[in-house]
Amino acid sequence: MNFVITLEKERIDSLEELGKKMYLHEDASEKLLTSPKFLKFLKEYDIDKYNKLIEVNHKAREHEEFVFLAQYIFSPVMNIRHHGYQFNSLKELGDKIISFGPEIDVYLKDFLKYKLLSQYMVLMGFDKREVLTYKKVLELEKLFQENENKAYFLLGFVLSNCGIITYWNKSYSDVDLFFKEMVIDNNVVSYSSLLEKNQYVISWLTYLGYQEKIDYYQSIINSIQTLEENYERRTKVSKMEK
Amino acid sequence: MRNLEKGLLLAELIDPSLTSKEQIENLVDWIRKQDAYLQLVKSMMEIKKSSSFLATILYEEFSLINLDQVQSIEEGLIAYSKILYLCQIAIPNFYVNPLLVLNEKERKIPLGQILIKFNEKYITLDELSLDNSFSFNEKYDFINNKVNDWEDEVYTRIIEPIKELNKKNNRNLPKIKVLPFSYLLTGLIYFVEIVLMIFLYFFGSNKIKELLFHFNFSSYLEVNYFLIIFLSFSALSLLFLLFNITIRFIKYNKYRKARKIIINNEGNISKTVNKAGDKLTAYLIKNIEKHELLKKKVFSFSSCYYIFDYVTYLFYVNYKCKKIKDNTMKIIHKILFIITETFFVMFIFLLIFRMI
Repeated sequence: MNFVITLEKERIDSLEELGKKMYLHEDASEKLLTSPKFLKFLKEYDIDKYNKLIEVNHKAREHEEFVFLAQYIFSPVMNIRHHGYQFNSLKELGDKIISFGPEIDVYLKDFLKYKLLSQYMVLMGFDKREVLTYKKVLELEKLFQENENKAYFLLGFVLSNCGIITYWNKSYSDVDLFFKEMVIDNNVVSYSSLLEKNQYVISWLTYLGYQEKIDYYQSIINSIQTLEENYERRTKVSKMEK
Repeated sequence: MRNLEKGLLLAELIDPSLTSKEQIENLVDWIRKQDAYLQLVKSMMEIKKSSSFLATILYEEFSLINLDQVQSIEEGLIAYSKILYLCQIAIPNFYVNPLLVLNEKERKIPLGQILIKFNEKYITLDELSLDNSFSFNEKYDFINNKVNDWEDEVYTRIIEPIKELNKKNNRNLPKIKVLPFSYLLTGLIYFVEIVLMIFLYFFGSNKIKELLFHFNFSSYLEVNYFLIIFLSFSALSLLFLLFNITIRFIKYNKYRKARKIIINNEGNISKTVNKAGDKLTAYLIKNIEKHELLKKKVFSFSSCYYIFDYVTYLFYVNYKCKKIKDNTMKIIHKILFIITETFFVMFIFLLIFRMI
């Protein structure tokens, strides 16, 4: 290969190596892959990869998606890699999501946001080998449009395939024990303030099969919130009229 | 609501024993301090003064909320949601019935500001009129149904009690005349007697005049005495008669009016109610079709409110039926009449005897 590729001052010796290292320097990778010089080189060097790259460029809605998919053009057989993370299995990805809980990693969110995970599964043939998981991922991508955080944490539980929640660096498998600790004076305010916001606990309970209780809980909360909004609005209107 | 209760609610739904009594009391205290709760309590004081069905229902709903008996976060939040819900509708604009408004405050509400539930939302009649997202037919059907509901309420509160009153009217709600026949007759008799006295004074023979009108108390002329007594009692009876008639007029005026309007008049009252309903429907439909505001005040259509007043009054009278029965004034009148006429007869008898 007589074209010199550098990514963030690191010399790349082959296209395959480029594919393997793109996840470490996504911005630089995007610049490179869209540069006329590189595209000219690629067209002459490997027309097949060039065509695939153009196709991905047209298809991808955001640059994160473009870079993610492009890396598999240059290195087709590769584990999951994105924004500095690499995972050898879907379970590893799931475990990572849960390990951060209740915090959310915005880059891990990309797997649902830009549908990177479902596209990876199709590329690697997981859509045919792990049909149920693939269907679940598609469902979660849909759910992400309505409730990002719930979909994100549910993905973690589904992929990790274990009903253990990690909260403030402590792991809980027993639901009662978890809540017993959360309602004590030291924890209750922080736990309550995060509950609706990040949906972590709700996702966990949903995964464990407490959907009916979650639905009932949600109906009470939503009803009160709507009524409060109506009350605030009416109070404002009547103050203005006075 | 606070995030704290969200966290506690979820924990409690998983395991009811996880929330403490203190946390529940804390929630109840918080609810009692909320503007919505304070406003609702104030609204309920006003609602008690209203005559409408909806007002009664709202008050009953409020009575069912008992914060002292809240035993869990779930119960507390459900009570709180009920408070918020009632708060938005426990206002005169929602519970007023334009066909039957007794409350002075409610009578001034513009029709357009009446709150209704349309398509699962609470909006005013003005908003319904101005809304272009619904067809006229949908609005027309809704208005017809709503006015029918208001009419039904009037029927229940007025027509049904009238039917009941009509069943009892003979026994407990007798007809009372301000000027009964007996009073008229006694008045006539007194009048004739006074005319007779005047006739005797002007046209009587000298002997009669001397017997009747020359008062000489040094000699005992019984005719004079009986004449004086008769005249005194006549005057007293007449005054008493006039006084009694005046009292009867004042005392029984409302009763007579109420009885005249209510008893055996069910058909006319039903027509009045229907007419009022039709008038209201016509006004609403006309303005809604043109997407105009409904500026007329509620009292323009409340033609039945005075009937309600009379119905309530007659029910009270029916309950206290003894109060309408003939009273002691009539007995006193009879006694006075008898005494007066006795002295008159004695006077005439003595006069004739003296003349002979």
